[in-house]
Amino acid sequence: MKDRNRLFCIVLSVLLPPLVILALATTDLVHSRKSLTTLARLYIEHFTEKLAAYIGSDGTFGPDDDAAFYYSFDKCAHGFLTFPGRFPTYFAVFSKEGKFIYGSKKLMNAMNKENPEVPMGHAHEIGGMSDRLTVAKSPAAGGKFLVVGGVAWEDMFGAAAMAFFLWPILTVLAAIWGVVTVWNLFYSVINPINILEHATSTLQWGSETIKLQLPGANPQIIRMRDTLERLSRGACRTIKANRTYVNDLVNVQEDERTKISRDIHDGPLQDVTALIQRLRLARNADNTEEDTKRELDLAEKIAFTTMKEMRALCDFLNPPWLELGLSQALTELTERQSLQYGVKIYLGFDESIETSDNVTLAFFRVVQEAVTNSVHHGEAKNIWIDLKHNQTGGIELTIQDDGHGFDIKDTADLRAEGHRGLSNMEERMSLVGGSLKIISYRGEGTCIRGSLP
Amino acid sequence: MSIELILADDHPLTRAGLLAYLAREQDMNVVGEYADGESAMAGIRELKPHVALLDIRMPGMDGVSITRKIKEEGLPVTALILTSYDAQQYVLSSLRAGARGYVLKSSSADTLSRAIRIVARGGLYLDSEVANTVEEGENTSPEPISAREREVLLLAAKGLSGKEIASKLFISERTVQTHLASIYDKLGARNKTESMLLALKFGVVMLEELLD
Repeated sequence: MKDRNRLFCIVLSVLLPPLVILALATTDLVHSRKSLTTLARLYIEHFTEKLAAYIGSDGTFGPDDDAAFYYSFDKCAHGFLTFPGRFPTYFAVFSKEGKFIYGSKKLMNAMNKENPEVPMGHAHEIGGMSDRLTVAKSPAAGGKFLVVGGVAWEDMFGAAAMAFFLWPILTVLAAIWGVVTVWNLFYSVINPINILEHATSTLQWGSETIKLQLPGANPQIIRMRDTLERLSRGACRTIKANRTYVNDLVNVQEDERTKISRDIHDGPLQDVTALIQRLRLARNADNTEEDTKRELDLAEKIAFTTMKEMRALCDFLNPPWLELGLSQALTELTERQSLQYGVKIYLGFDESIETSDNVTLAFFRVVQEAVTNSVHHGEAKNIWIDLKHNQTGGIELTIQDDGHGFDIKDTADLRAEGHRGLSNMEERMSLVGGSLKIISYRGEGTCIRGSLP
Repeated sequence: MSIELILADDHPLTRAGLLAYLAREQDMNVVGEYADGESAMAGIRELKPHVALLDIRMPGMDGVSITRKIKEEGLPVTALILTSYDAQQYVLSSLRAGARGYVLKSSSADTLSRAIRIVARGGLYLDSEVANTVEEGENTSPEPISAREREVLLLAAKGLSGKEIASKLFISERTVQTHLASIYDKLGARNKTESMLLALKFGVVMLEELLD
């Protein structure tokens, strides 16, 4: 929660400086404007007063000592004065009644349009943003005429004048821009990060996946979310796979136990029961010597049978021929299976193949399982097993049968239905770094290929 | 009159042993021997022996199924179950199926003969290994169990769970457990099945009650 507040603090601290600057700038603007206005007014009041002093009773400028002023005036009889040391300034001369006599048309228009009640000697502003004038009027020739002077802000302050008019708009725009930017930052970055953070911290890895709608979020954050989604899905899959695997292991173990228990029950246990029966019969008081001998002979035979069955069970559980190497082990296995199931098994192998104990065991179990499947599920009569080097120097084991095949489903599906044989073979191969491929079509037999690079 | 028997057991050596046991009994006559369930069933239908000695596990059809079939078809044959298992759950299911007894294959010839004679007379024979305590003091009858406990025991014997018994008798599951514990204690049993068998043996419950 504290960290989350920190993000808000960052947003605030981003927002704060522009707001302060904005406030200061606005204050500054108000002050500057005030002083500019004062400046323009002082100037124009002074100018108008001075100009009025030159006006004679005929309404024109009388001869005077200010040569420079005259000069400029002559040049600018249209009512616009420019001369060194002064701002370009408009002027106009009106009759006492307010009738325009001569001078700047601009001022005439402005005076007509605005018709301002300009107090004598006091300047004020007319016009809009782009054509703002500060004007002042002054009586001349003893009140016979009225002189109006005006200075355009644009001429007096240049671009600065424009800025004063644009400034409020710019300020509002800047403020809106700032807010929008910060909002945008919040909407597309801060908020999505918060949502993502919350989802991640409350997520139960391995049992939940992240699914978030982040409309308007930054592409990087969207990618981050996608990555998290993938990771969370991956974690779920891994956990599930582990559970399935452990479950399988436990099931296989249980199945094996059941099978071994059944084998012992049906085999040695029955034999020993029979042995007990024979020994009891041998001990019978009514027996002739011959009877006793016969029962003991039978008992001995049964004991031998028991031993054989036990040995077979031991061989099945941990085949001793595995130590003889893969080719020997496979020969032994296929001979036994051939006898046991009454199928023909054609075994071919490359004598030069040498394998480690693990690999031998893997191939051995794959063959064992494959042959059992071929007989039990495919009802095969002939099975061809081939063990050779492949082109890349690895080992390839092929088991082909003439059984009736099956529709290949995903081994995961088969596993779900309780058939673990195929996935067990796959796992055997993958444990030693190999792979297993199963090709089967209904009615066309099955081919199982285990490869080891 | 001698007792006519059939023997069904898939293991040739034990079958031979059992036949040798039975051959010594003057009053018994083995009229058929079978290695699988289906041929045993056919033999039962055809020969209608007094007693059928049936192994629980056999290829084709197991002993419990054959027993059930005998009952369904109303054949005048008494089933006596034979097995090397002393697994008690088999006992109850075979008794429910209609078997009149249960003998372990490792029993002595005398025990086997006695069991056959008892069931042929219409009695019930439960092997001593199944409920051991009885053999030690046959005269000691158990502490009497209450009517409620008897009810609980019968329902449990029919395969109902503690929860189901509780809802059927309108009592809590805990009370059911208490009743069962008390029953075990009184009968000297270690579990539900054994208590059921002991109850049968002591005559606390009748076999017929189990069957309905």
